[in-house]
Amino acid sequence: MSKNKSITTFASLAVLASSIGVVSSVSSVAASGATASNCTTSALSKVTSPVHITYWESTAGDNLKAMKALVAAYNSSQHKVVVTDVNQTGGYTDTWNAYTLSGGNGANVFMDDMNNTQAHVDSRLTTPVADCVAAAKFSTKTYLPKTISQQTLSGNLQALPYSASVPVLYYNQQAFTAAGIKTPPATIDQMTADAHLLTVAGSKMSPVKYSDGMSLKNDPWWLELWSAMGKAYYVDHQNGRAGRATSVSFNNARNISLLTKLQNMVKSSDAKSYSRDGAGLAAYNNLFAISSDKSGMTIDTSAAIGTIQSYLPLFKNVTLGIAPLPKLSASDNGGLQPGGNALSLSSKNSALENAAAWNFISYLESATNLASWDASTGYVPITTDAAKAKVIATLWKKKPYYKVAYDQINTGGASNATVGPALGDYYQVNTDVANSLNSLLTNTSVDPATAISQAASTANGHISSYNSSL
Amino acid sequence: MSTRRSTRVREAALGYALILPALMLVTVFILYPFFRNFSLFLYHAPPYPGLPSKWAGLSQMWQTVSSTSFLQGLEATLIYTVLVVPIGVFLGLVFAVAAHQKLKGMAIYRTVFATTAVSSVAVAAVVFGTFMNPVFGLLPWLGIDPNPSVLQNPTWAMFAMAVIGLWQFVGLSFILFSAGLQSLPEEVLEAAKIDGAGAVRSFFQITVPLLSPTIFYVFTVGTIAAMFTFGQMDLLVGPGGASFVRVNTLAYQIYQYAVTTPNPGVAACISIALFVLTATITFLNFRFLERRVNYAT
Repeated sequence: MSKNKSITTFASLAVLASSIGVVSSVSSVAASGATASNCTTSALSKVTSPVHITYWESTAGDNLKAMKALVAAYNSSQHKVVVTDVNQTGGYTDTWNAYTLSGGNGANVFMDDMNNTQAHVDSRLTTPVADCVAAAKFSTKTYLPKTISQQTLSGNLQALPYSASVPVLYYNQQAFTAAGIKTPPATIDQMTADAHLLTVAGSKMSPVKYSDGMSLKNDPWWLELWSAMGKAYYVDHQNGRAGRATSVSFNNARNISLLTKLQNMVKSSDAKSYSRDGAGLAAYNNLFAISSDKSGMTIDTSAAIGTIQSYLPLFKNVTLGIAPLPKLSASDNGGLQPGGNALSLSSKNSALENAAAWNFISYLESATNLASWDASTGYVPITTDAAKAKVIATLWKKKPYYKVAYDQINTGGASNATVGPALGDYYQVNTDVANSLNSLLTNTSVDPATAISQAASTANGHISSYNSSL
Repeated sequence: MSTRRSTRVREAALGYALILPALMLVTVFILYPFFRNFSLFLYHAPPYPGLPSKWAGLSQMWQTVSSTSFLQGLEATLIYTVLVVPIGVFLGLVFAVAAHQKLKGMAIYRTVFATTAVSSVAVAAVVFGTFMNPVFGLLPWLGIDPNPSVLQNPTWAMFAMAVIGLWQFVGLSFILFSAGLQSLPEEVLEAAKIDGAGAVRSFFQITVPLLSPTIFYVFTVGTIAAMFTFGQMDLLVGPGGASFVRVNTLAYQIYQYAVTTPNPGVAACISIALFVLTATITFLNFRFLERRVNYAT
C-alpha cells in the first residue's frame, strides 16, 4: 500500500518536473553579437568553387511553387552560387523570430514583411542593401517610389523591395448582378449599402444566399492603409520616419468614424466578422464564404489573386471581380502604402556570402524574373520595367483586375504619411490593434472610441517598453 | 572483501553510465533552463540577441503578475483546468468501467477510446477546427452558425478549447482507469454481488474506493497537464484571433514572450509564477484530497 502511495507521489512529481520544460523554453533565447559587414560584389568573380548560401522565405500555396521554380532556375543558371531555399511555414513573424533567435546566423538572405524593417535596423542583425546597391551600381530608379521610400530608414536602403501587395475588394459578380449592384463600391458608405442589398436579395432566394452580406476580415493592416489613404499618420514623428516612434497616432476621430461604420455593418447583420488568424484554411474563411455563397464580397490582400485564380474553376457560382479598397471619404487621395515583402542580408555574412547573396537577389529582381513572379502570384510589379514586360502587359489586358493593386500603390505619391509606419515593435502593435478590432466586431456593444483608445493605450505601453529595452 | 568492493564499484559505474544519457537530457533541457529563469526574471531582456540586458530587480516580477494580461491569463488557465479535469476524470472512469466487461469486440472499443491519448494536439486541433469551421465545418452544416463563430466567440472559444483538451484527456484517463480496474480483486466484487449489492452501489461503495489511488493520480497529473496547455489555443485562435484574450493561458503567454515576441525576462516571470501556482495546487491536492485515498489494495 505504501508502495502505491509512493508511486503516485513520484509520478506526480515527475509530471510536475517535466512540466517545468515549458519554463525551459525561456532560456532558449541565446545572446550573440552583431557585426557590420561590407558588400564587395566583385568578390564573386574570383571564386573557384561554388559559394553556398541559405535563403529563408515564407511563401505558401502557388506562390511557394513559383518561388521554388525561381530558385531552381537560378541554381542551374550559373555555377558560382548554390542557394538552399528554406520555406518557413509560419509566415513573416515566425521567420523573423527564428532569424533573430539564430542571432542572424540562420540565413544569408531572407524575406520579411515590408513593414518590419525598423526592427531590422534595431536588431543590428541585417546589413543595409544600400552597400550592395552602391557596390554593384544597381539602379533603383525604376522601383515604385513608395516601395523605396518605405525601405529607406536611417538614411539607407535597408532591404530591397521584392513583392508588393495591397488589400483589394474581392466580389462575386454573379451576386452583385443578383442584387442589382452595377458597379463595385468606391466608399465605405457604398460598401455598407451594397452589403445590405446582398442580404436582402439573397434572403429571397431558395436556398437562401449571401446571408453574411460581406465577410469582413478583421485585419489591423487595414487600419494602417485607411490612415495612409487619408494621409494621416499611424504613429508619431511622421510615422516614425522623422525620429523614433514613441506613441501611436491612430486614436483619432477619423478612425473612430471608420470603425463605427464597420461595426454598424456587423450590428445590422449585413456583414460577418472573421478574425485574421486561424489554422490552415481557416485563415481564408472570408474568401471561402464567397465560394460557398454565404457572402458576396470581402477585403483581402491582392497577393491572394494567384491562389484564388487556381481554385476558381471549382466554383461555377463565382465570377471574380476585383475593385480598389473602398475609401473612407471620397476625397481621400493618399493611395495605399505597399505591403508584401522585401529581401534582407544578414549582418553575419562574410564579404563573399554578401556577394553571393546579392547575386541571387539581383537575379530574382531582374525585370524578367520579377514579371514572371508577379504574373504567377498576383503580386504587384515593383519596377516599371517589370510592369512593361510582355507577360504583365498581356495579363493586364486579359484580366484587368490584376492591375487594380498596382494603380492603388501608384496613387498619392511617396511621403512619410503614405508609406506606412516605421515601428520596431510592429508585430506587437499589430496584435494590439487586432485585439481591439476584434473586440468591437465580435461584440457590437463595445464602443469603437473605447476600443481604439484601449488599443492605443496598450500599444503605447508596448512601444515604450520596446524603446527602453534597446 | 576487495572483490566484493570492486564488484560494487563496477555495478555503481554501470548504473551511473546507464542513467547518464537521461541525466544529461534532464540537466540540459530541464534543470539548467529552470534555474536560469531565476536570473532571467531579474533583467529587462533586450528584444534582440547581442544587446545589453538591464537590471530590473523584483519590479519586473511585480509588474508582470499585476498586469491585466497576466490576470486574464490566470483566469483562462483556471477556467480551462476546471472545465477539463473533473469531467475528464469522470468520463474516463465511466468509459473504463463500461469497457471492463467480458463482451465480444470490447478490445476494439478500448482501442478506440485509447487512441485519443496518443493523438497529438495538432491532429486534435485540425480535426476539431474543421468541425467548428464557420464556413465549411460540421456546425454550420447542422445549422449552428453563430455570429461570431464558435472559435472567434469570446464566450464560447474557451469551451471549444476545453472540448479538445477533454477529448485528449479522456483517452489517458480511460487507459489509467482500465489498468486500475484490471488490478482490482475480483473476489471482493464477487462477494458484494453475492451479498446483493447492485451495480450502482457496488460501483460507488467498492469500485470507487478501491480505485481511489488511481483517481487521485489521474486528477493530479491531469491538473498539472491542464495548467500547461496552449497547443490548441495557438493553432485555432492565435494572437490575432477574436477570442484571443479569453484563451490566452499563462503557458501560452510564456511561449509568446519566449518565442514570438521575445522578452525572456517577462517570460521567466510568468514561468516562475506558473510553477509556483502549479506546485501550490499540487501540494493542496496532496494535503487535502489524498486523505480520502484508500491504499488498502
